[in-house]
Amino acid sequence: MFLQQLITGISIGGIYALLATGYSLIYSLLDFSNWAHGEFAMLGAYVAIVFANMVGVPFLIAAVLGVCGAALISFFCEKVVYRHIRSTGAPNMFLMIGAMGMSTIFQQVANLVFTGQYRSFKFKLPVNTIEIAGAYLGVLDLISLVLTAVILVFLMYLINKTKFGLNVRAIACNAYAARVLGVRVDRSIASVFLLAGSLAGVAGILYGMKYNVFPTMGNIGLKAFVASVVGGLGSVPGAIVGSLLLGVLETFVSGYVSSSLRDFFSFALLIVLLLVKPSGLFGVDVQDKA
Amino acid sequence: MAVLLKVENLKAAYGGIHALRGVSLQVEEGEIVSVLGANGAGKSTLLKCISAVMKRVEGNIEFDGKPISNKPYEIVEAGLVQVPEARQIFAKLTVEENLRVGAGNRKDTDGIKKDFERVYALFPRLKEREKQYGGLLSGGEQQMLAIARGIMAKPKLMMFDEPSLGLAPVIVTQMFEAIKELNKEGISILLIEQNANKALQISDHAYIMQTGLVVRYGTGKELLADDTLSAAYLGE
Ligand SMILES: Nc1ncnc2c1ncn2[C@@H]1O[C@H](COP(=O)(O)OP(=O)(O)O)[C@@H](O)[C@H]1O
Ligand SMILES: [Mg+2]
Repeated sequence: MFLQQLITGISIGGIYALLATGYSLIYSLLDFSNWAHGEFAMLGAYVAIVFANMVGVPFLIAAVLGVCGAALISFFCEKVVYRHIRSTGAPNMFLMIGAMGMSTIFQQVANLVFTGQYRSFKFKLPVNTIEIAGAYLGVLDLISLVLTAVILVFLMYLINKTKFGLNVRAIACNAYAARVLGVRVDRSIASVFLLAGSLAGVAGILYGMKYNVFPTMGNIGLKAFVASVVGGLGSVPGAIVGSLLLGVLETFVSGYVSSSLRDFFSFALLIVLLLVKPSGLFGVDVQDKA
Repeated sequence: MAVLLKVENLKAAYGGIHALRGVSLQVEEGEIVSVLGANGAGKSTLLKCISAVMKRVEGNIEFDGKPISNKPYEIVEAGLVQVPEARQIFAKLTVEENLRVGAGNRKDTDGIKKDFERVYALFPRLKEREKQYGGLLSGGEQQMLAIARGIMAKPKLMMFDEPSLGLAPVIVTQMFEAIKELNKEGISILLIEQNANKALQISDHAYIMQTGLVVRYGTGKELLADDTLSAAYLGE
């Protein structure tokens, strides 16, 4: 039972991590909370549903198209909305308000087009379990977990070992200096939106496979937000650790306490952490980003 | 000598504040040119316009015989780099990573390797602290890093915005020595300073700015000999 819960928790945490890392990356570059991030996941899941269930392409191809869709929507949000808000020199609060607006619009559009109905992939998902050391582990959870781990390792490699990552980290430290030194700041930002959008797309599809696809499913973005604050806003490793912590906490609360208290515990964790260590577990100095 | 940088009638504003009201100046190949002036004269604004991180209202800027690009990265690629005011190093990148960002627009791997050796020879302290975060360096070391980071872009012309600001006198002397050394190695220099004496001593030519205009021009020697200068324009 314990091992089972732990694996489920880590696999949910992994889905949060796919969202929280993108969320954190965008925060680290632009100093604002992209409230529309969860909706990128929702839209990616719908794109995959459309191709898998309505067009009838093989599931894997539909999933890839869903990921691309989420990446493009994220990219266009940056190109069409955020970049223009930035160029007016408006305070960051306006970016956040813009993001809230986008979030609501995306939810409403999904509701209009697809109705509020809960949809699932017409693809025989591996719902069976395998027995390891006396615990019954869901195959879907394991697949989700492995896929997420591979993606997150790749993400860490991108950020820490490539020129793209170096530029992103430089911009996060000091965008002005990066620009003066010849870093193509706008291009790097657009690439991060593509990357974050595609991670969100993967998260949305995995979540949709495990549960359902519905217009308000983007609210898991809120969990990713909690996770990245717990881990330390702007820190990618922090976002991963915060997400795993939150996923495991939620699963244990649901399993051993009560599933209706799940969110109570998640947000209590957030509040306690904000009181004790506002910069988060991996937090860089809050001052430093001001 | 050929003119490397030519600025004509440059005007720039922050909203209603006219920070530059028609500035003209030039830097010839191989020269050290300083721009001096009291706080608020418009010196940093001048560099921001040249680097295209700020839009100009009016005026022409030519670099290396061509109109300058309006994209900062193309300007760096063309060989013009700025060491910005207050150092602005990347605090959470290591010294080495800071330098790699500086070399970001170059493809000549061998040249980059040589330039790493070159800046480490110029500033041995940086070599010792290669793996440390930029934010942990002392003020003087950060200024060295900011200069080294600029060198890594392989510039023809380097612009310095008050490199001596806030540094101990010994370090300031080192900084001016380093700038002279770079100039000897063939890099032309546009130097912004409030430390007028030290700057004039190493300058071929100098301009003095006051509230958005150039009010004096001369060789370094001429202006050094002029006792009325500091009282009138430099706010000393
Ligand atoms: N970001 C800004 N917003 C508004 N006014 C500014 C800004 N930066 C500089 N200024 C104004 O422009 C003028 C020139 O500033 P600056 O170029 O920084 O001068 P200097 O570098 O010679 O001290 C000053 O009057 C200053 O107050
Ligand atoms: Mg200045």
